Amino acid sequence: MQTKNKGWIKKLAMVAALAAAQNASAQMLDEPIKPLPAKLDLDARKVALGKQLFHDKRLSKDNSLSCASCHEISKGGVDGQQFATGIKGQVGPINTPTVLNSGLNFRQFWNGRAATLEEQAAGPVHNPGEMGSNWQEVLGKLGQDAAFVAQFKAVYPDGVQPRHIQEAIATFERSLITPGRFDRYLLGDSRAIDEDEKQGYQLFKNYGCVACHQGMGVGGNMYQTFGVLGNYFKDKGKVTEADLGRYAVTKNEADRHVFKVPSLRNVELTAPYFHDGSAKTLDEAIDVMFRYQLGRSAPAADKALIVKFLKTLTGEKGMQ
Amino acid sequence: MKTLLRLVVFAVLAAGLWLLYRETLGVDPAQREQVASILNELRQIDAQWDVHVLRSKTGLDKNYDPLTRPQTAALQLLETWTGKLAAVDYRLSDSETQLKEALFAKIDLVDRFKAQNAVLRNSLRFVPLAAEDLKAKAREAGEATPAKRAEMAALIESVDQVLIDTLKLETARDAELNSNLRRRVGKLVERRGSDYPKALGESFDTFLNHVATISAQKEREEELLEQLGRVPLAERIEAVDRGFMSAFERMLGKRENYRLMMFAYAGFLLALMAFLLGRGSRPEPLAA
Repeated sequence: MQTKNKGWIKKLAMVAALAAAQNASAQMLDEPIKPLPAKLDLDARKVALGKQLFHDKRLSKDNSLSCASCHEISKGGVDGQQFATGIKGQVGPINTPTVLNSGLNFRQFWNGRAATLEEQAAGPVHNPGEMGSNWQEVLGKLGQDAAFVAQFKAVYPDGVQPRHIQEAIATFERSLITPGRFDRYLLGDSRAIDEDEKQGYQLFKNYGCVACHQGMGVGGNMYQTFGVLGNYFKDKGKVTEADLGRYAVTKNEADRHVFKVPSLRNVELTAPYFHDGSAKTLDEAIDVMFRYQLGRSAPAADKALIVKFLKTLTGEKGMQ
Repeated sequence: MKTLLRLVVFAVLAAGLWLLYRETLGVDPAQREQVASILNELRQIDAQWDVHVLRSKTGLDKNYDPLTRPQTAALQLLETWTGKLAAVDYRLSDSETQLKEALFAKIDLVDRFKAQNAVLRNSLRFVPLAAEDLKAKAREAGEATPAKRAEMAALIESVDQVLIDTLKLETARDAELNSNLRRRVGKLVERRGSDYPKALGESFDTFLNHVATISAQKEREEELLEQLGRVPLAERIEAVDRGFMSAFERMLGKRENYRLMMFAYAGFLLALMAFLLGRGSRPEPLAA
């Protein structure tokens, strides 16, 4: 009798679970922006090792900088400066892009010159204006640390090698996804964002911001010319090498001032904005976007609502 | 001395057997399955790309993730692929290079298509609103004098014509329609009065900026779709498939020949051993 009851309970529980799952999927919104995945299939040991390497200053020539020096996880994965600062206080030519959710980007760096996070991880290590080192030096320093080598070998049995360092750092960076209130809204929790924020989202779509800032990353999946409907660089005046965008990679005239569209996730935390860090606030950035990308204007009240919506993209987790 | 000679002969015979055995291992049948599976995935990626380009063009896809995912998958496949073909036959490295070139060409064109499509769809969406705004401002300006009213009525009529032609472009694939639109835009620009009130002037410029963008982006779209259609990715996949399979068959045939040779050689060695053993165990004839 007891066994029979248990069978019924199991069946009922299954039906309830199925109904709940069906309900949840029915409520999930079909929007141009997609929610972040609930779970990532990553090797936890590589994530832990990558995290350690990400914070390891031995990756820089004078042991003064780690990846985290410019990409501070708790501060939105950026340094908050207009331009990145390298060893010996060298000021770089470009704004630091956030490392948060960078695993969703279709390419890395503003001009998309790295196809993968692994490739990207090697860039700053070798850049004389950033960490100014090379693998030989890094391996030499890490190799002297017996405890680290043993720890490394537990994950990569063939020992400390550049490709493993790159893979571990990239795996850690892939783990940095930051689901927030807007993801909950997309998954069907209509109370996750308030009415103003919903209106802001509607305006974000109506004004056409969503044409480029869409998908799971709310950007990061395409290139776009900076100054589609207005000449941003003519108005800016002095054009730098960094302003050339993708042209610096391809030397194709059509790629002049073309950049990877940045992700808007955590945009509230990643000021200043654009590759040149020229917009200090979200309001300024939105004004520039309206003028040069959308070729239209909007009332201040609409822009304020869009800012409210953008703040719902700040992660609730993943920034520890 | 005799023992050393025997040892050398034995070593040479054993090395011959080992060499023949090694040649029979030259090809791994699982490799064929791996390459076939990679090629099938590439075919799927290529097909998905084409579908999602069309879906994005028509606005059915609401974001570009479906166009971006195949790109990442294709690049990952290339990583696993490197060296597999040349290991079977060095002549395949040319086909591999051509396939990679086609793949990179498609990735590049899809990237350009996404950027173009986003701008086009945005302006197409906004241009009716821009026209309404311009007409409202023109009506306001027309209230000044009867002469102004006539001028603004003509402007409103032109704006409507330009708007209709612009929206027609969305569905039509017609170069003539686009050149007609450009003529109309040219006339509209000529009509622009230098004495327009600021708000009317700004609205006029905004409307024309978007119409010009649509016209240029539509032309770009046609070019990109044509270029995408010309990328011989599917042909290159088939060429690699044919080349690899025939090279693989050749290698299998060669392996079979070596296998037969190895058996024959092993048989010969066994016979030799039997002969030598037989000779060694034969009783010495009694001394007379």
